[in-house]
Amino acid sequence: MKVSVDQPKADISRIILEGRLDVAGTQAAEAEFNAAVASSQHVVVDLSGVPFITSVGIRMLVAGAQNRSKAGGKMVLMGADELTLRILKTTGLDQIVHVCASLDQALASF
Amino acid sequence: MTTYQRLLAGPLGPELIYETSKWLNAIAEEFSFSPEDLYRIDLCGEEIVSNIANYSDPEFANQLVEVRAVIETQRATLTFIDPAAPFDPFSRPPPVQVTTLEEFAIGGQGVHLVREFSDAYRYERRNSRNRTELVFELSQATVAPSASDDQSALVQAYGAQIFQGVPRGEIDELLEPLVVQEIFGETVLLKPGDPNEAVRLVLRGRCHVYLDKPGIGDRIEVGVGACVGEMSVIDDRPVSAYVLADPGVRLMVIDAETFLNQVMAVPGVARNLMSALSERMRRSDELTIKRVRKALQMEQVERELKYARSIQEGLLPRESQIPRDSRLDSVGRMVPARDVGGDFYDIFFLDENHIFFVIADVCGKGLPAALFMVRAISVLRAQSGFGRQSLDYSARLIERLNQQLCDYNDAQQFLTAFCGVLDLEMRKVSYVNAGHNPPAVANGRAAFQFLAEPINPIVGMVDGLAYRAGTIDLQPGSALLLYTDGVTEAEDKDVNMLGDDRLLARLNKVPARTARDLVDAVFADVRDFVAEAPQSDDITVLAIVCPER
Repeated sequence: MKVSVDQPKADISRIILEGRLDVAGTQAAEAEFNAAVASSQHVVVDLSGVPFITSVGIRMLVAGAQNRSKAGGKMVLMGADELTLRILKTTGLDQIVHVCASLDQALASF
Repeated sequence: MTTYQRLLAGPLGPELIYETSKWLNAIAEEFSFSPEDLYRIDLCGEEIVSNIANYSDPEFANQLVEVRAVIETQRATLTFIDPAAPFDPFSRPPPVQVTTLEEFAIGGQGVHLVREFSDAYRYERRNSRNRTELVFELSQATVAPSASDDQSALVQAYGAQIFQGVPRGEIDELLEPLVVQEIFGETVLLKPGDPNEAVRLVLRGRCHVYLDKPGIGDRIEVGVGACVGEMSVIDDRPVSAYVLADPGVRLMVIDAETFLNQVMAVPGVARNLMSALSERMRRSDELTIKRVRKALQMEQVERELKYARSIQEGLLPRESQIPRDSRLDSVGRMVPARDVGGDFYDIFFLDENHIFFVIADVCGKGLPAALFMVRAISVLRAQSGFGRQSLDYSARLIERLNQQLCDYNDAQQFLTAFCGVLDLEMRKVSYVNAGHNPPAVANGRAAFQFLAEPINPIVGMVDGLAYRAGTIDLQPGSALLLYTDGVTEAEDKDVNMLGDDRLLARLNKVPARTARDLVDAVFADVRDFVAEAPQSDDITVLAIVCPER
């Protein structure tokens, strides 16, 4: 599991996740992900490198979104593949966190 | 239509989650599942298995969890069988859909995903195990696997003891469909009281049968070609021992019904089984005989230790043997930590006006210390006759003791000692401290304090040593309290030591300084201090008082 961060715009960080967000992957990524989330006002989480997600991955994303919301910022998701998108929808996460297809759409949502 | 079965088995624990995912991915590749089907199956597998691994009571740790996959042309059925407390994951209502982040329910999402991504789900409690079953209708037809793995398992099964002399064609039929279990970590396969549903043939690796506790005590090994669980299947009674599987064990599972009705019905199998059982019975009989013999030997050792204790007690001066004289009041007591100990004391007249006393502590405790103690006290008494008139009698006696003990001491044992001669007329003590705890002295009516100087080396390690004596003049009413470190280093349950200060304080509180009251006070204080903690060392106290006349 790999976590990297770039800054497509001032005040907006993009956190790029690469690997499976299952129990093992989430455990490996969580600390780094949380630190990255907390270090920027707005956050785009790029899921295009995530081939697989389970409820622990969902839990990590929700915690990130809640953290930004409390700080008066925002977290959006982008790049999820079809099946991952289905999981976001099944859990209802898409109702409370903005989910976009591309980085441009994500940046436009702030 | 052909169905295939695959089986994952291992200990209940966190690695179950990773092993399950790895195994499901391997099955998907073997049977060519579509990526979407694999995603669904992998997802649901992790959710169910992480529930089992994360929420089971620790008492079920390392017990057998099985995951069965039955693969048909367009369907995969997964059954998760775990030994934990009854828990139906589908009994909770699905999480409520919410509109704000703050309300989002973290819990319950996993099972919700399982409901949505499987095509059917079912929970059942059977034979003291949770069985969670998930069905997946597959989006594309599976590809039959090359049978190489099954084939190798079958070949291993031909060699099993119960199939000796049975034609291979017949074995193939009996074992169809093949159920092969690979155990990924050390696992408790069976435990006493479990219902047993299957006989397991060991194809690779080893299982161990434990009679008392898993992993402890006598065990019987069950190797390749033998089976486990056949006894409880045959007599239809709960399992009677622990069966542990080593990591990497490969087993062929034959369910109880098939075993009883089909396998047993094959000519030759019953006889093979009987010879296997009688062989095992012989081995377990031998084990039983060994255990009984060991128990008897232990009893014998205990009897001998009790006897040794009474011999040791007999070596120390009894109350009636402590010299009686109006110028002296003395009491000694030794309480060993085990049956026998390494402490000793002695007190006897050298002539009508001189009394010799000693307290000693042999390194270690138990039998080795006791043997050395017996030797030391014997040497000391044998040497006590020489040079009685000499002023530095104690120093010369300790030197001779040191020399003699050094001469035959391959085990490198040693002792610390405090000894001295008390001149009853002059009330003068000439003493030697050989690495021992300084005794407490109360001169006349003064408070107790430690007699610190001079300190000499321990006894028994270095030969040819010279020992230096000290002297002290005592007023009438003085008291001398000798003790071993079992007193000051007595430990309470938190491993705190009683300590020198507490000993002095306690001695100074004794109202009438009689030898008996002083010894009683020290033992009572040790008892109060250690309370419930076990006695860690031998405890010895010798009090010598010069009464006021």
